[in-house]
Amino acid sequence: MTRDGAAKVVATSVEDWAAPCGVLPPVAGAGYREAHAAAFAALGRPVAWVEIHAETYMVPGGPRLSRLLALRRCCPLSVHGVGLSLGGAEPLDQDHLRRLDHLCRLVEPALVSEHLAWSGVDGAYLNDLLPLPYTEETLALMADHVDQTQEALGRRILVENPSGYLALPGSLLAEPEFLAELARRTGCGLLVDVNNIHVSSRNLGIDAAAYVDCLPAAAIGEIHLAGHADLVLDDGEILAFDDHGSAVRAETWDLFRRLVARIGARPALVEWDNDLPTLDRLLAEVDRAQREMAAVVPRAPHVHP
Amino acid sequence: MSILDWQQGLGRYLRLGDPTGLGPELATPALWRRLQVYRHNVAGSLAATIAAAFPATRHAAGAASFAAWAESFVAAAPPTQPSLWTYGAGFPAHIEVQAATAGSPWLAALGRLEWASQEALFAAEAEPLSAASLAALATADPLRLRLAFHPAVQLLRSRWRLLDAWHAWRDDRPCPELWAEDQDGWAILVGRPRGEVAHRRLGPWQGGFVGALLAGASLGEAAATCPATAEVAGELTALLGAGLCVGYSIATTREPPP
Repeated sequence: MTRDGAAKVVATSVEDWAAPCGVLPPVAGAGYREAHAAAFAALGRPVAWVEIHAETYMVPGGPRLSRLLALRRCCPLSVHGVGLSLGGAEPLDQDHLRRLDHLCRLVEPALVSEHLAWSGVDGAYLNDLLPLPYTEETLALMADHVDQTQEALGRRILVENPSGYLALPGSLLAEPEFLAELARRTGCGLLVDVNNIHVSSRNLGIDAAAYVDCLPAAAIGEIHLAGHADLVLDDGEILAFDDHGSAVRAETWDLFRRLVARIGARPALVEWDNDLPTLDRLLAEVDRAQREMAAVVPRAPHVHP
Repeated sequence: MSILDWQQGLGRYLRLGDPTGLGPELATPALWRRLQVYRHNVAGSLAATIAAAFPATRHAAGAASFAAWAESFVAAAPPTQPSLWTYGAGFPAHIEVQAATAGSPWLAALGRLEWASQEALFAAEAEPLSAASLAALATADPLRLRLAFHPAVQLLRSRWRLLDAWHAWRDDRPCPELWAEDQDGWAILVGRPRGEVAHRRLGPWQGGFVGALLAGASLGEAAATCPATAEVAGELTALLGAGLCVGYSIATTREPPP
């Protein structure tokens, strides 16, 4: 199996994948959030893998980092960056890249991922995943920054599709085409957030099924699942808002099944960041993700809750 | 328009609401409304970062006042990098005048206590002086010792009884009106004994003594202004017992006794 889990699944039980912490099993995992730290530590059942937000743990020391290192001894980990601004027009923040590299050396994650987005300019970090027009200029920019990141970390990264609220008039490429070409040029993998695809399809009028169908299967190393909300704008228009604040919706499960039926099992993460449920409720959603995946991929590992 | 120009214009709009740098392709009301989603994400998430770093200050100020201060701080001084635990150091100074005008002159000091606590929470690890080191310390000439403190240790000087506000937040009680000590020199020692942030209130001579040690004075130098040797020994025992000291050196010249 390749490091990103993209090769054919041969194991039949999650325990077969649990031993080497350097490999992410192609099963469902949970987003690890600080509010759940104590519940995770007291958990009486194994979790196949967890994903953390990189920036949360870029701290010199203290109990937050200690708890993460303890958890890391028990299960494989994926590091998901939200602040590198790969799509930023300014030079990549080398200090931040060093912080990411330091964290990766510390926790030795099985996967590292970032976003197709920008998040800062003019010395200000804006703390959001901001949209890019998809052009040859921005493709070259993203490719250069992905190359620099992979070189600095000494590993392949995955790049995630963002939620869209605004169809930028200057775009010349469709988002899946842009991502596929980025993967081809840089060798990076893709993290496919099927909730983001559904959110973008509602907001921008794109065909979600066609989007999912044309992504290059071999490049896909991980899938994200989450809930979203309805947001009413001033003029009464209703947008889908990617708030990670509820259970995964039916349309997102449909896209998930469609994707894994085509490409096979992958590490699939349930993200829940706002209106955080109990850990048991979150893990019930993780279990559902595993059942949904197993239902359409006969050889997906079976997970015992 | 280059992609850099485009991002700079959009960045100014998202941060400050200034639409003058937006490209003509974004100048339609329908797109503007959608840009608001990003604008709210930027301002809301950064204000939430400030609220998470200053929970006791927010509790004491009230949610509405705090939200207005956080919003103006975010607009005036956005973070400069994505590791957001470092964001908010300037917030206490930002609220100093407004909080005093609003009748709470101690609120900025409470903010400084919370910021010191945040820095303590995420400070680097260091091993407290071990029992063996402590035994060696007992045999050295104590007046010539210079102590090295854990990276989490800070001393905050304030005459306000700030811990009353901190405890009110922790216990979810209404914040009382704080009062100030008559004398200068009162301080709060912030540390991370046994992995969790803790505070200890120090009186004027203790504050002076610990402050001198933190500034690098030898025990003899720091104790020069203290009232009695027994009290110095007691304070030293408290510092060492809480694991706040991580090393020591011996001053090369002998200091005069206090």
